[in-house]
Amino acid sequence: MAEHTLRVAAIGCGRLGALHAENLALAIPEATLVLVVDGDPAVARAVGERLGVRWDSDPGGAFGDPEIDAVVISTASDSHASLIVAAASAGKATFCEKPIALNLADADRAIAAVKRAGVPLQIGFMRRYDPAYTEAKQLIMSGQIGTALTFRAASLDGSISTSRDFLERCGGIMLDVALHDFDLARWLMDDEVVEVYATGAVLVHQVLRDIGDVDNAAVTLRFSKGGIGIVQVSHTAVYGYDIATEVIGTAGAVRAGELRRTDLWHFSGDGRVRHDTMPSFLERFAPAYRQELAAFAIAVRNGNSPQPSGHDGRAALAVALAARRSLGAGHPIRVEETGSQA
Amino acid sequence: MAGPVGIAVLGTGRIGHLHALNAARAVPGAHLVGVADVDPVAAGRTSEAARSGRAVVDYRELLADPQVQAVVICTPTESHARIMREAADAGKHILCEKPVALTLEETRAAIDAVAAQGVLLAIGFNRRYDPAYVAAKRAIDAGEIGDPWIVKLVGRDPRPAPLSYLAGSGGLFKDQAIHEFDLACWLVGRPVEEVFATGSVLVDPRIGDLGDVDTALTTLRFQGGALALVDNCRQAVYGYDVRAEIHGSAGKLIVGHEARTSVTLLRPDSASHDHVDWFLDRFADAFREELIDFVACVRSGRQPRAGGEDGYRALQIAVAAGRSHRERRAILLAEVTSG
Repeated sequence: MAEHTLRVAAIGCGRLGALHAENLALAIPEATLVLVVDGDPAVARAVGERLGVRWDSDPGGAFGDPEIDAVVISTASDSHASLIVAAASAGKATFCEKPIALNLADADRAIAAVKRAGVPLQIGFMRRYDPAYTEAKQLIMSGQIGTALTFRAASLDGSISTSRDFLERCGGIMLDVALHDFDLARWLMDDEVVEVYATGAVLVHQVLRDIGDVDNAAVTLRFSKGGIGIVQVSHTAVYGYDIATEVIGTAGAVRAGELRRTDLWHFSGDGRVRHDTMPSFLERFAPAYRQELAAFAIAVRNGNSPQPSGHDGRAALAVALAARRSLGAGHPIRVEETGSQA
Repeated sequence: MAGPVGIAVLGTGRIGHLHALNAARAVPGAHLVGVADVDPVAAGRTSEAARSGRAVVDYRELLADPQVQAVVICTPTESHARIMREAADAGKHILCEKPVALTLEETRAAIDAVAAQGVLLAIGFNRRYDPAYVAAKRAIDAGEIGDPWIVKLVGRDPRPAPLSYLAGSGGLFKDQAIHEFDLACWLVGRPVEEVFATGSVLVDPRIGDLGDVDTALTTLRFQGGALALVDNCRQAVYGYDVRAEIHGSAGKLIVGHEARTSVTLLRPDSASHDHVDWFLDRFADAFREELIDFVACVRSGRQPRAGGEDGYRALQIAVAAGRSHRERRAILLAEVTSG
């Protein structure tokens, strides 16, 4: 039994890291959580004790431990690339939250280290493991909508982190939020984004001005085969976590989007029909977070390349960096131009 | 209670298998000690999939294991009452799949025997743990739709279970409609006074040959006058169809859930979405929440959301419905003490 189980260290125990750790400990039979790491020893200890595993405040212990087969990195975005390099150099299979890095040079460094070490790398684009997006992809692949022509996506939520540190280190709305849509755009359209034009504004969260970020943005995409797309991102949708995606093809279209959390409909005396809304990504993508780690564990165990790959992580990052540059420049940016931008 | 609650799953058919996986993976504070099934291959498959717990053929081995604090009984219905008594005698807390037994006498005796041992008894009415039904119950209790007047419940399976299963199931009312009967009681929160049911054989004449029906409507009259209409069928070619509508003095609630995913496929002149195909899919969250709550009850001593008396009452309505269908008349529930 033991030889089939991937022994994993979870590095980073923030909101998402703690969820990954819990899933590894409880929900994924192909994996066994053996260690949790967080820079804050109190956080690491709390999660470790809750899940009954060892804890540490330094990831070095995980890399040096021959008992550990794989690491799941959910630390601040600006530490991802260095941790991927360290994990790869130690021969650990690596799952890393998106973004793979905050710039392409670091992404390339991480991918080169992974390639050199010959270890598997999966990037945390969990939407690819969501049942709805899986269904959408299958419908597209089976020819139900003909040839994909246009892409439309919205990723809207209602608040920003209260942590200034997080806001400064997450890469901004393009790398932190729109990145998911850029990955979906590549995956669902089965094409590469070659040019973007972004416009954005600070409408509510004034603190974002100080760090050069925006709380609302719209991005148009041009794909290599000629298709076009539009991505809207927002931190001012006060009503809930609203993720919707659409691909229109020559023979039809697919739409995925679920603002409702439960299927309870309330008809009241004021003549209005109500349902609840999705509170956050944790509820909306709970099954996807389990599935992506299970898929990672199974791929590593079977010696397959996990998906989405480091290449996918880099390609979506290149689009996001181009979008961020366009936001400042006020004109369209070719994605390939970001290759020269460190 | 310190340390995880040791759980044994007795019977590893499709629901037992799911409970075992949940006990092993999805329930914080639980530990799967073992699984039992008369079929060693089935037991082995479940413990292998759960990567936890030993597999045994004789469930008594697990009842004798001091590591086991609670059992989940998922064996065929005819054995539920006997195993419940043995588990209670061994001091184990019990989550038993519905129904407790196929007769009221046997059910009463088993509930009383369990109560005498002072262990907890939860009945597997999983819908009480589904997030949408939980939200509906909360809204009703908060007065958001005023007094409930009409409850309409639909319970239709995509296809009939095998005849061999149906033959021992106790029939549509005790096997299938019992979920809706419990749900109606729970949502309305008042006792049922009168039951009228009528059924037909429309899906498969062989179900009629068993003396059963495959399609039925049941009306319930609650104390105070609220009414429920329960609609059951053993076949719905489009998928698994479980829905509720609760109409009250100040509003209405609908629990839907036809779509499996949020994806809409748009084609010239049509828009379509997929449909939930099976109860394991529709109620995956509910099964998990049910076990989480049961383990919490074991740790705290709190009474489960659905207990032995709820199991008795739902069966009582099912017995009344069967009698009403056969005798073609309304049945006062107070008259139903046997059967």
